[in-house]
Parts: sequence; structure tokens; C-alpha cells
Amino acid sequence: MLFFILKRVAMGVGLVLLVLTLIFSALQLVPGDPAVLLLSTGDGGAPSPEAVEKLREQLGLNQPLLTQYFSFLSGVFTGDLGESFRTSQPVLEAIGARLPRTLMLVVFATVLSIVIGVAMGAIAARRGGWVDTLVTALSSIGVALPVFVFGAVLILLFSITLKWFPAGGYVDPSKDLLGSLASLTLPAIALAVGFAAQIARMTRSAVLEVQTQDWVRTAKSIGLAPFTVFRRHVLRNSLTPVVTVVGIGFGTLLGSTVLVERVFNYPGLSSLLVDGVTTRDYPVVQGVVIVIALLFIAINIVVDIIYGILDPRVRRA
Amino acid sequence: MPISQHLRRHESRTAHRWIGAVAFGAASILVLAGCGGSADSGDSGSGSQTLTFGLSAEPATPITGMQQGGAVNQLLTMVHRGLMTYDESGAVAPGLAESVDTTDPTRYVFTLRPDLTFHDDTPLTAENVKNSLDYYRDPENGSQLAAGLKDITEITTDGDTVTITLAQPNTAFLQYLALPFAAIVPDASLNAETPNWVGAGPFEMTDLEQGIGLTVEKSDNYYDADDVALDSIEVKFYPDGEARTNALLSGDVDMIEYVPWENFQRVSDAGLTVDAQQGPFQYVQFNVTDGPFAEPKVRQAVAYALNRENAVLAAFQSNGAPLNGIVIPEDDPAYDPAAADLWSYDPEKAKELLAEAGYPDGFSATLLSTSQYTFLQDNALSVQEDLRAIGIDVTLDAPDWSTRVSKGNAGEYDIAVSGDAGVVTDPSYLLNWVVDSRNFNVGWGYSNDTLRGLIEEGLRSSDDDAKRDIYAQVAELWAEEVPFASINTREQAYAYNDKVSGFETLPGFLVFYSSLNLAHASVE
Repeated sequence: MLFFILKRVAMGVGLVLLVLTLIFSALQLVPGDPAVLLLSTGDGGAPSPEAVEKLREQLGLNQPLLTQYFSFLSGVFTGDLGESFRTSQPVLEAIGARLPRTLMLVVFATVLSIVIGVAMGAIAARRGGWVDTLVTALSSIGVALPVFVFGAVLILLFSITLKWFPAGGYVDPSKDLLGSLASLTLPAIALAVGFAAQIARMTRSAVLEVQTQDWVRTAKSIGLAPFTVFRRHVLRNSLTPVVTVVGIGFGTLLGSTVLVERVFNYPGLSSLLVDGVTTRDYPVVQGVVIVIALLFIAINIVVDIIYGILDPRVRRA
Repeated sequence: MPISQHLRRHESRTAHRWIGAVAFGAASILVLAGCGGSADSGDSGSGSQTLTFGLSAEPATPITGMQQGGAVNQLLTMVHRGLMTYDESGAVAPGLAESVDTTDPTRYVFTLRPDLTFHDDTPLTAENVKNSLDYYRDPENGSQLAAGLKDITEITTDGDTVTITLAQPNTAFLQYLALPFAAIVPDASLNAETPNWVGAGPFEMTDLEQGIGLTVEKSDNYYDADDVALDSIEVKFYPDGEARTNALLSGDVDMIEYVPWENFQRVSDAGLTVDAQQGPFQYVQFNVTDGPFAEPKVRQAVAYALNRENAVLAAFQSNGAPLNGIVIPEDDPAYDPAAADLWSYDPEKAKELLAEAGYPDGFSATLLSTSQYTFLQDNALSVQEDLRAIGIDVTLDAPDWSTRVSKGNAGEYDIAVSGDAGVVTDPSYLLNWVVDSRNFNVGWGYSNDTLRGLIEEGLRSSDDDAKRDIYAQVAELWAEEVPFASINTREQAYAYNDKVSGFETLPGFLVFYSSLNLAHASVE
């Protein structure tokens, strides 16, 4: 197991290097000069060539590409991701501020999704009949509903009409815990809906399948209470595929935050990345991509480990 | 039988427990959240006046003198002041200068107000004024004011007076000095490395949270501090127009700038004030280096082919006005309604002009726009239809804004749709489009020395009648030459709830500097 994890980590490092090189080259290939962009907007006049040249020099953009590449790489390995072109804030600091916010949102959404999804899936499988039909229908809608549409509906209903929740923004939990929770709720629900639906479907079919297994019949026949049978033998065994879905889904959720953070004006990692791309803020884009790559690889390893805990066969393999 | 009955009963009880748990969880979140929300709104109601303001972008760190766009300008209007400023009606008024003596049109004597102080408590002296203006007028420093201040030959100081000598009269000179980025700043800010936050304006920057917002607080050092009602302004960043509008409608903020056009109606229907001014204009620019658009007749054909009513409807939901010529502000001595009416919508005439130019069957061309700003794309689609109707087969090229700028700067287009505004309201702003400066806002390769000469003559002319004559000639030549074919003017709006009073947008191009009026605004 340990060797397995180490191998995965080594592969991960290689992957990160590849991602770094790809992202560096991609940014060079796309048109758009950060210096010009920093000095211009959709409305105003154009920047003077002198100003652009001066800024290019200041940002190190007039250096040869290879020099830029190696100084970028060596920066990464010494823990220095550079400074944002736009705000002069160290990229590491910006990520340090934003990553916890996005994780908070994603974790909140994941917890909501698991609780609601597993509950709905289990109920649908055990009850059957109209409950099953209803849950299946709801989960189909949930999976198909675009997150920004659902987000807009939530805002319209709960922020503008009822004024229960803020329409967006971020409140630091250390300053105002309740306010922070309030600002997290709607984006987390918007983020969770599709995922919860997916988990519900997965749980439902897994439970239905496991219920017919021999060991369930055996457990029933030795006279265990039906709920004990369900909890110990059905649900537990049904959760293995669900964990995979959650692991993969967690990554997808990270991706979905791009839209959710936009709709709810949530200043997380995704909005940092989007703003970085649109303004050609190279250091920011590179830094965020590194972090996201690391995160994905880490999630995959964690999923493997949880898999092993739930199903001992994996550990032996 | 009994077993299955037992099973079913048990099942339903379990299900109830599940549902109950979920419902309880959801309800407790709702309750907790509801409490949090009401606690927030309770705070802002007490004694001190705090305005919450939704800004349309996270501003870059301001660099002294640099052109950095609308969001940075909004903040500069709060923290900075120059020798001159704009009053509530948009007229040039004394700022840090108590008075200005202009008996000689090439010599301006400014007397500073007594005891001026920067936010960092250091005194603001005549030397600071000289140093700031010397910095702005040096093209080496990349300041966007370099062109506007280029007539300055000398700046001298004596006690609390500053004397500026010009090479020739310049009717727009004081307008340039009133701009938010013509601010007088401490000498330490006169470089590209020091963030340009310290000023002598009504508000002092006190807190910046990257990605979230910033706070400015009333500065007791401001010369007119007694008249500033707001104790602080909490600025929050909303890059997405929809999110910005929602924040206003839900009461998260009291005021927003840059209301998206599709939301004007929605905001005013909700009982809030949409305070709009016709400001910037949209236009078709031409690459004139070679090809059909090098021929003025083809450019005229385009100008006659544009269905401007359609464009305004499509791109701005009618929150704009068709523009058949050039904008000369109404309060300028050169104002003449005829200048705004150089071409009409006349596809037949457009076809004739194309035939005269040697393209009876039309031709094909690329039109550069951007998908990032919907209004520019919608404008472009309207133009594409109009040109197709006269035989010009237009292929749309709509990359993201950054790529659009790069392509514009490299002249990689046949025609393009753009939006812009004058920096100052003096019609000399048109100089930007008749001098080949090789940047993305100008018709690529276009320059016209006659037009340039006339506009510069207008700038020197302190005689109103003479200025009007000059601009009549400019308009006549513009109609033939078509340095750009205008499409429409568009409204630019601030919106606010009924807590806000005393705020008004500034007219015309000055609408972008309306936050100057936050110094006169109050909440509740």
C-alpha cells in the first residue's frame, strides 16, 4: 500500500511538471499582451507605446522565453510563484487566501450532496413505488439542471424576493460566522444539486443490487433486524461505488465552482483563475493551475485509500 | 406475511427519520443564515454613514498617471484631487487651487488653498504640484496625460502659487487638470513601483482585501471635509454585471456603477434609481493601409449602410441613441447639431457609393469584435447584417477581449467595431482618431494632417465663433473622409437605492468620473 502511494505521488510530480510546461507554453501561444491589457479597458483610450514598453520591462516580459521559463520553474521549486501583474500581490499569498474559500464551498457542497444524495437514494431503493419514481425524476432534473440557471433561480427567490440570504459575496468566518454561513449557503446548494442527484442515482442502484446478494439473504435468515441488515450489510457495501462517485465528483465540483463563483460573486480560487486568464496575468494562472493539479492528484490518491478501507479486497490486490 | 408487514412498517419509520434529519439540517441552516443576514443589516443603520458601493471590476493596483481603466478611475475620484476638479454639473471648478488667474491665455497662475495636507499627514506644497505635473507631462513616464499637457513649457512656484506657461493657448487645458488621474500626489508616488493610493482627496484608502473589496474613509485633511457627509465607503468588487445588479436588488450594496443595459428596466421597475447619461460612443473603424477600405468612398458606403436604430436596440436594449456623425458636447462653443448628422441610413446610396468606388458586386472582409463584451458583439452582428445588405460579405472574428486588443494593435482586421469616449469633453478628443498612433482604438494606418491641423487650431482658438467655424470644417471633412463610421452613443448608468441622496451622474464623457460626486452624497 505504502509503495503504491509513493508510486502514485511520484507520478503526480511528473504530471505537475508536464502541466507546468503545458500551461507556460499555452500562455505564450495565446495572443494578448499582459502589459497592453493592464493599461487598457473596454472603454478608455489606448495606452502609449512608451507606457507599454516600460511595463513590459518591469514585468520581465521583455526577457527571452527560455529565461522566463526557467526562472518560473526555479521559482516554483523554491516555493516562489511570483507576483500578480495586476495587483503585485505574491501569487502564493493570493492562492493562500482563495483556496480555503473554494475548499470551504466545495466541502460544504459535498457534505450536502452526500447527506441528501445517499438519503434519497436509499429511500428510493427501499421504498420503491411512487417514492422511487419521484426521486428518480428529481435526480434526472438535478443532473440536467445547469448550475448557473439554478443559481440564478436561488438568487431571485432567496435574495431578491425573500431577502433571506445575500445575493453573493464572501464573509470571513473568523469575523462573522453566521454571516459567512449565510453567504455560503446558496452557492453550496447550487453547487450541490447536480452532485446530490448523481449520488442519489448511484446509491439507489447500488442498494438495489446489493439487496439481492447472498450475504444479505444469509443475514436476514439468521434473524437480524431488517434495519440492521440494511445498515450493516446493504448500505455499507453499496457505498463503495458511491465513494468513487464522490471522489470523482469532488474534482468535478472544483471545476463547477468556476460558474458558481461567478454567479455568486464568490472570491475563490476559480474566480482568481478566470480573472487571471482574461487579464493574461501569467503568474496567477500558472500558480492556480499548479495548485489545482496538485489537488486533483491528491484527491485521486485519497479516493484510492478510502476505497481500500471500505473494501479489503483492494488492499490485498 | 407478518414478516413483510413488519418490514414495511420499519421501512417507513426509517424513511421518516432520514427525511426528518435532512429537513432539520436544512431548516437549521436557513435559520442560522437568516439570523446572520439580519445582524448585518442592523449594523449599517447606526449613527455613522457608510455607503456600500458595487464596483464593476477588481481594480489593478493604481500606478501614478497610467491609463488603467474604469474601475481604477472610480477609486481615484475618491482618494485624489487635482488643481482643478469637476463640479456637480460637470463644469471645471477649482480643486486644490483656491483660484486660477488666466488673464493671459498662455499663462495660468494657481493659488493653492491654505494648509493642504496629504492623507499621510505630510503637507501638500506648490513643489508637489510642480513635481506631479512635470511627471505627468513627460512622455517617458507613460502617463496618459502627456498628450493633454504637451503645451506646457514651464512650471514655476512661488510660495503657495504655481505658474504654468503654455507654448500656445489651449482651451482644454483646465479640463485635463480636472481629471481624476491628474491628481497631485506625494513625490514618493511619482514612479511606477509605488501604488498610487495616497492623495489629498475626500476619502482615504484604509483597507484592501484582494478579490473582495476595499474601504475608504473620510479624510479630515481634505480641504472641503466639512461638506463630506459620508464617513466611509465600502467598495465591493463585482466583475459580473448580473451579480452586480443582483447585489443592488437584494440590498447587499446601496449603489452600483456600470449597470448592464439589459438590467436598466429591471432595476427601475424595482423602484431604484437608474441615473444614466449618454456618454461613450460606438463606431466602425477601418484598416486603411490597403484593400477596399483605403478608399474613402467605401468608408462612406459603410457609414450610409448602418441601420443605427437596430444596433441600439440589439446591443443596448434602446438605452442609447443612433449617432450619424461626431459628438460635440452641447455646452461646448463648437457645438453644432449638424456635426452629429453627417450620414443617414440609406442602403441605396451605400450601394451607389460602392459601385462608384469600383465594387459594384461588393467584396468580402473580416470584422473584428469581441465575445467578451456582449454589447460589442451585438453591435458587430448588427453591422454584419447591414453590410451584407449592400454586398459586403463580412466574416465575424470575435475572440476574447485580450486577443481583440492584440489584433487591434497589430492591425489584423479589415474593419472592427469599437466603443470609446473622449478623455475630456473638448472636441479636440477627436485628435485620437486622425493621428496614426498604431493602437487598437484607431483606424489602422489612418492619419490626416488637414483634420489634425484644424482640430489643433480649434484647441488654440479662444474665440467661440472661430472655434465653431473650425469644427464646421472638421465635420464637413469627416463626412467625406470617414476616419470612423459612428454607430451610436450609449447610456452609462449608476444605480442606487433610496437611502442614497445627493448623488448625480456627470454629463457626457464625464459620466465615468461621476464618483467625484460621492463627496456630496449621503446615505439615509
